[in-house]
Amino acid sequence: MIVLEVAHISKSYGPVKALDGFSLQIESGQVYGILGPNGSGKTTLLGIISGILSPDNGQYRWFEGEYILPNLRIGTLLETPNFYPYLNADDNLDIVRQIKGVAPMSFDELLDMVKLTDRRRSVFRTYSLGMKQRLAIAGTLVGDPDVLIFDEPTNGLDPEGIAEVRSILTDIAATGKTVIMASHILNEVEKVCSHVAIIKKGNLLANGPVGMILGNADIFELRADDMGALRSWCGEQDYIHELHEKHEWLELEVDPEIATETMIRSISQRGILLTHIVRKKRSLEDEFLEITNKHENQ
Amino acid sequence: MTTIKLIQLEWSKWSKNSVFKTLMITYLALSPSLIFMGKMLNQVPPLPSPSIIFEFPNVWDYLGYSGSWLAFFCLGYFGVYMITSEYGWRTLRQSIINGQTRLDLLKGKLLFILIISLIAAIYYMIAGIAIGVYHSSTFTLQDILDTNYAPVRYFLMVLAYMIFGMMAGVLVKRSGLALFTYFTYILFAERLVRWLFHYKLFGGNTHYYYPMNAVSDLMPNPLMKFADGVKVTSGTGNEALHLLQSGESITLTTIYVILFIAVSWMLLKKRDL
Repeated sequence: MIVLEVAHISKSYGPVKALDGFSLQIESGQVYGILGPNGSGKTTLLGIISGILSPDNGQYRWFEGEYILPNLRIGTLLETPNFYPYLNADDNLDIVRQIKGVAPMSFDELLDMVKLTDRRRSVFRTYSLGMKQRLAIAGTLVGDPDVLIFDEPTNGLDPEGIAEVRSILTDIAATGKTVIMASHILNEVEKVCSHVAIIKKGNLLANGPVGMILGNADIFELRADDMGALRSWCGEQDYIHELHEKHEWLELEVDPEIATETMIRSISQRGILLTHIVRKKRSLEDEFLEITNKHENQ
Repeated sequence: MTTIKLIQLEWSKWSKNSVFKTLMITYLALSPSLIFMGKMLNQVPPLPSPSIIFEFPNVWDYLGYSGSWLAFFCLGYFGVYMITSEYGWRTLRQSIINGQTRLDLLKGKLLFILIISLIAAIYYMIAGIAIGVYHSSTFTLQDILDTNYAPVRYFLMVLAYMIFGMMAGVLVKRSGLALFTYFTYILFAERLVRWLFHYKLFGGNTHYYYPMNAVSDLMPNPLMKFADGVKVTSGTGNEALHLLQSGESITLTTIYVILFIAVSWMLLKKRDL
């Protein structure tokens, strides 16, 4: 099922174009990362699909238009946790429950999941930012929604808070719910999401499965006693797609199926002595920079 | 959402709010007791003895007038606060995000205001009857019922202050500025516009039809009525003391309340949250 269709949405704030004909399609069960630098239009996009901002042009549709009030089936944490400061966790979640039209329920399980059981009777304004964020995540889960939207869920948290929130998000993603998460933190998207859309200046630059956007290639860094011989060996291997000269070594992009031992054996059989070898995955950061740079050069 | 659920939701939001509790307790404590300041008054001819304040049917006018100031300060204040605080906490936008429609959001606020206004009017009736029965040496049922629609006027007055406050909140969004707008408009701005511009430009009586003048004439200062009576008998008319008739102020206030709701809805519907 197509959970969300966004078609040619534009939104401007005065002369600033926050979104420029943005289109995207998200299917059921996908954990979709909306990745882009600050000010790229991520929050505007989420604000529009949450119904609090009106697009200047374009349209969006939830659940193929099946529900009159789709937000009742969506749990959203947009920017900051928004609760009544003088109410405790239970009272605040109960307000979310009433709005969602869910029958009276116990919040034990939800508060346990976000580790707030001990502080459930404390009023919201006494919470740390991490606790507020965790309560907001619990709020998104009230009524067991089909889709969850998180906007920069780890923003402003300390390292411990980031780790806690990421762990909760990973658990949620594992339940098979559709998750849409905006972030400017590449590592976060890489760790949590199955799919990614890269957005910059309101334009969609690339989208697809994280593995595809990451590419299949692995990166090798090689240095040897005879760099000339190593260079000519590289030229003969068809599984090496790209070769970059770095200051002290060669950087190769190779098929991920190639075993490190195979390469070492092949190089040593040519009488070349390796003095440095590192194998690493091409990072989303590299890919992100390449995609955004390509876009800027067009 | 059903009407009951909307009211329950608003009650869940406000029942534990200290500003709401303080304003309501202040209102409930002072609205039947403020009138007793009349006991401290000395008789000044040609005004009647202050003791008539507490007797039927005068008690309706005096209790209504003292209550109107409390409604303006306490209940109108809450009308502003219930919107601007939700803008400030961003819970208004979270309600939409969570699935409440903008229409339900407004309906919830209006229903809560309607209930507060009804309770205020019923409380006014109970207090009026209690004070009147206790202070009137002789009275009949007819005397008690001789209210000139005072409970209806009182209800409409509270409703109008609160809805005007709500509109100011929706319009301005920021708590301090919205409260300033609410108090300044009612206490000064409208009077200045009426007397310095409208009356000077157009003359006549049309400047009495301004919204907050119509609302305040629902429960006017009873001494003004008395002074008007004196003027009529002595033949010294003064337009400055003109009061709208009950029917006029009820009709005008009803129209303005509908207008305030319409403006609030237009703003809430169109604006980004």
